[in-house]
Amino acid sequence: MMRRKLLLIILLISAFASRAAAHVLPDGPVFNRLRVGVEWGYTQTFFLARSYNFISDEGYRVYDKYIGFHWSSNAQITAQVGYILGERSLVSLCGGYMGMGKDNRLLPLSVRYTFYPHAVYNDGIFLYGQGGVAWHIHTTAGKTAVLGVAGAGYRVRLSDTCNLDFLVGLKGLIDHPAIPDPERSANIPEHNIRRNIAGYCALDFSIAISF
Amino acid sequence: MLRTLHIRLAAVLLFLLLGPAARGQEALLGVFNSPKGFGVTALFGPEMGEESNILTLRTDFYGLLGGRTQKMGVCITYTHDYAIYQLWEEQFDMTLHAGAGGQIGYVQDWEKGLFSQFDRQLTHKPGLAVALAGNIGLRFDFDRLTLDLSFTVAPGMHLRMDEDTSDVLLTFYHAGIYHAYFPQLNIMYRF
Repeated sequence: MMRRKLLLIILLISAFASRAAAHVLPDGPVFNRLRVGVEWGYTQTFFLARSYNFISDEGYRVYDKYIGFHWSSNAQITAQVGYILGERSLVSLCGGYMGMGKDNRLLPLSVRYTFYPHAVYNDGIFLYGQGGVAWHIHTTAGKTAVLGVAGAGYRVRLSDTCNLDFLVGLKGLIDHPAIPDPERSANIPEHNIRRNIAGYCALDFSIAISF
Repeated sequence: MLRTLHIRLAAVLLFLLLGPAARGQEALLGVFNSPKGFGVTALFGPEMGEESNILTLRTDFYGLLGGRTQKMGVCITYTHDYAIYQLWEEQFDMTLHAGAGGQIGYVQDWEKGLFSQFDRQLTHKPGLAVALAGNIGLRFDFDRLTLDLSFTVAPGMHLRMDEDTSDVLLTFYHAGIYHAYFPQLNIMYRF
C-alpha cells in the first residue's frame, strides 16, 4: 500500500518535471517579470438564487424567493497586470467591466493566480483561480458584490513576449442588486430593505492577449 | 439532392479559401472581436504584397453591452487596403495598412441615453444601414497566427421604420462615426 502511494507520487512528480521550459525566467529588476494583458469574452449566466424582503410604501412586507435556472447572455472585458512568481506561476490583478444576469452590470476587481504546468512561456494548458469584488455602475444599483472564478485554458505562444490564451471558467457572484419598484421607475430605497441577496453562477468563455 | 448541394457548397468555399494560396496569394481566415460585435474575417491578397482585400461578416452589438436592447444586428464590411509602412522583425512582421470600401448592415442606430439610469432602453427600430467604410489597421504576422488591430469609420445612411407612425425614415448613420474609435481585433490563421 505504501509502495503504491510512493510510486504514484513519483509518477506525478515526473509528469510535471518531464517538460523542460523553453526559456529561463527573466532576471534583473522586478520590471522584467511584469506582464500586461487584455481579456474579453462571453459569459453565459445559467443559475440564480435570489431572496429579498422589503417594506412597501403602504407598510406591508413584500418578499420573494427564487432558486433555479436563469439564462442570460452577458459579456466581460478586463485589463490585467501580472507578475511572474516562478517558472509556472503568475499572479495578476484584473479589473474591468462585466455583466451578470439580466440587467446587472458591474465593475470587478480581482486577484488571479494562474498555474502553467508547461511553464509560463510555452504552449500548453493552464489552470487559474480568481477572487475579488465588484461594484455596480450606479451607486443606487446595489451594494458591493463578491466574485470567484475557477477555470482552465490553453496558451498559444505567438512570440517571446506575446501570448494568446483561450479560457473557460466557472464564475460565481454573490451580490445585493437593487430591487426595482413595481409601482414607479425607481428602486426600493435602502432603509426599506430588510434582506436582499442574490447568488449567480455562470460559464465564462474568453480570449486573452498578454505581453 | 440536398446532400450534393452541401458538398458542392463546401467545395466552392474551400476552393475560394485555398485557391488563392495555390496562385501565390495569401488567404487568412479568423475571428473578429470588437465592442461593435463578433464575427468572422477573411483576408485575401498577394503574398508579400502591398494590397489586401478584407471582408468581415459580424453581428452588431449596439445597445447589447449596456443592457439597452435585446436585439442583435448583422453587418458585412469590405475594404481594399494598401500597406503604408512595413517592418520585418525576427519574430513577427508588422504592416500598417489603410484603405476604403463599403458596409451594409441591418442594425440599430445610435440613440442618446446611455448614462441615464431609468430611461436607457433603445426605442428606435433597427433598419438598413448603407455606408462607405474607411479602415486603418496594424497587422502583426507571427509564426502561426496573425493579429490585426484596426479601426473602421462608416459614414452612411440609415433607413428605418418609425415605431409610432410606420413612416419610413432616412437618417444619417450616426453609429458609423461615433463608434469609429471602438477597437477591432482580428485573430486570423494563415492558410
